[in-house]
Amino acid sequence: MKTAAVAINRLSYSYAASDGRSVLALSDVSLVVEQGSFVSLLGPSGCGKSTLLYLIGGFLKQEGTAIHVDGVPVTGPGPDRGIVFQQFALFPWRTVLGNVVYGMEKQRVPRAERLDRAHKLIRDVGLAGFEASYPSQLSGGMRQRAAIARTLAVDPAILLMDEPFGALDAQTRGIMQEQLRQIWQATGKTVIFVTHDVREAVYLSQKVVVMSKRPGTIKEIIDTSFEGSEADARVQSAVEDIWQQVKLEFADAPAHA
Amino acid sequence: MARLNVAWLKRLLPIIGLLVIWQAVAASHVTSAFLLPSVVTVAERVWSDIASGTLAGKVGLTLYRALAGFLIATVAGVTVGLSMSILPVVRWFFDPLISVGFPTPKIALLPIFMLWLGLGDETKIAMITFACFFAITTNAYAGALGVERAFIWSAQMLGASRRQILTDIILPAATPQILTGMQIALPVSLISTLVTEMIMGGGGLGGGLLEASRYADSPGVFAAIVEIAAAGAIVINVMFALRKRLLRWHEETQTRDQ
Repeated sequence: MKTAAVAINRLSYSYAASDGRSVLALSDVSLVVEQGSFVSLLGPSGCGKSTLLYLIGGFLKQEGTAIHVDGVPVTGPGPDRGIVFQQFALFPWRTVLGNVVYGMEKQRVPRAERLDRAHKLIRDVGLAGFEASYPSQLSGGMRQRAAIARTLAVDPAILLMDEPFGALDAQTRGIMQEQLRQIWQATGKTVIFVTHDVREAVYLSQKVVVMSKRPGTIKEIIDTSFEGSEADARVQSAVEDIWQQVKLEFADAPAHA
Repeated sequence: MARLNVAWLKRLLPIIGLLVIWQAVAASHVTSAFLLPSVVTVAERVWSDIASGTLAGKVGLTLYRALAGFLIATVAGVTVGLSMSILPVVRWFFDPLISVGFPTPKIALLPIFMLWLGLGDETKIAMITFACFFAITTNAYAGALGVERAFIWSAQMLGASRRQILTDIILPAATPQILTGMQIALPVSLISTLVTEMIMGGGGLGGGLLEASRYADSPGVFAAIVEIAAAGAIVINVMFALRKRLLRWHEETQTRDQ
């Protein structure tokens, strides 16, 4: 049995809507993410999959100790859990280099070392030559590469990815998926990946967590770590399987959701 | 370079047109030289003001007052505006004050300022600061409130402290809107300076205008207006250039460059 990077035990979460009503977003969610594994959270929009990710990240406050990371209850954000957003969230007033070094500045990494590491990371994600560019001068794919480099710069043990390729065109998305797979294999980081793209989830992850519509619960956890000669066929059948499940959720969902 | 000059000429054309009409009307004897002195007379007066150094003195004094008030208001307004966005107690205190103070014509408080602070530069600068404060504060506050959640979360995740989030994230993210507030406040500072100088005296462009009108020096009044307009235009353009420089990372700068 591998050690748990993230352990969630019977987590419920509600928030106050704009009209003051309390909305139950997540209900009785329990999940264990093993160290070094790649897990996708999949479900219809509004199912609370991003909320779950933000709770693991410590960005949203919750009472109690339902979430443990490395055995310690989550109380707030930290560099052990790096997040990557769909809309990149690069600091637009900083250059690519300025964005990538920011976390290391805050961690008080010596100047020479942080520049060294930043240049290497920027090369690794394929942005060499764009160190001095501002995010507004880059394409969507390049921005997301820069955002990933910025997050990797603080060397988080866990990568939280919130539909990171959702804003990219199909071709760029394919390239980025491949690159993320390589990063994951090379670094052995734990990845929790939120998506509503079934194929993406199955292709990238070892486990797909299918969530129900609001209030979000875990419907099923499907093993998708296929290897060997029949992998392609099994990926295909898993995609179809999961599609059926997700389609059911969509069909049940109220029309306005 | 040549293209730049053409662009400038095109920008100046309406002003040149206005001057031509002015000169034509003044020369046509529809009015008297007292009611409307000719462009040439006024230009000669402006030139003699420049040559004698009196203009530099007046402009210097007026700009000193305007910019002192403007800069104090900027520091105070940005501090208060950003604090309002993160500290509920500051928001609780300033929110109603701003609601009442923003639509009030600030110049109405000048008699009180004169009573409390006397007739010197302190009163003028205090008046100008007060007049500029509201536009800068409300814009800084709105800019800070509009900062994307994901920026703040990213900085938290990367290890920034609360203080660093304010200085590293909220301040630069709110800069476009802070600059907008400053651009609204800058003409207000010039107007307030002129009005305080015209009411209180004490030299400067407003004082000069007041003096010329007292002596029924019609070319002097028109020359003062031209000088005030020119000084204002230069200050506003410097502010515009400053915005472009500070926001060279921003999309608005990039599209304008193309």
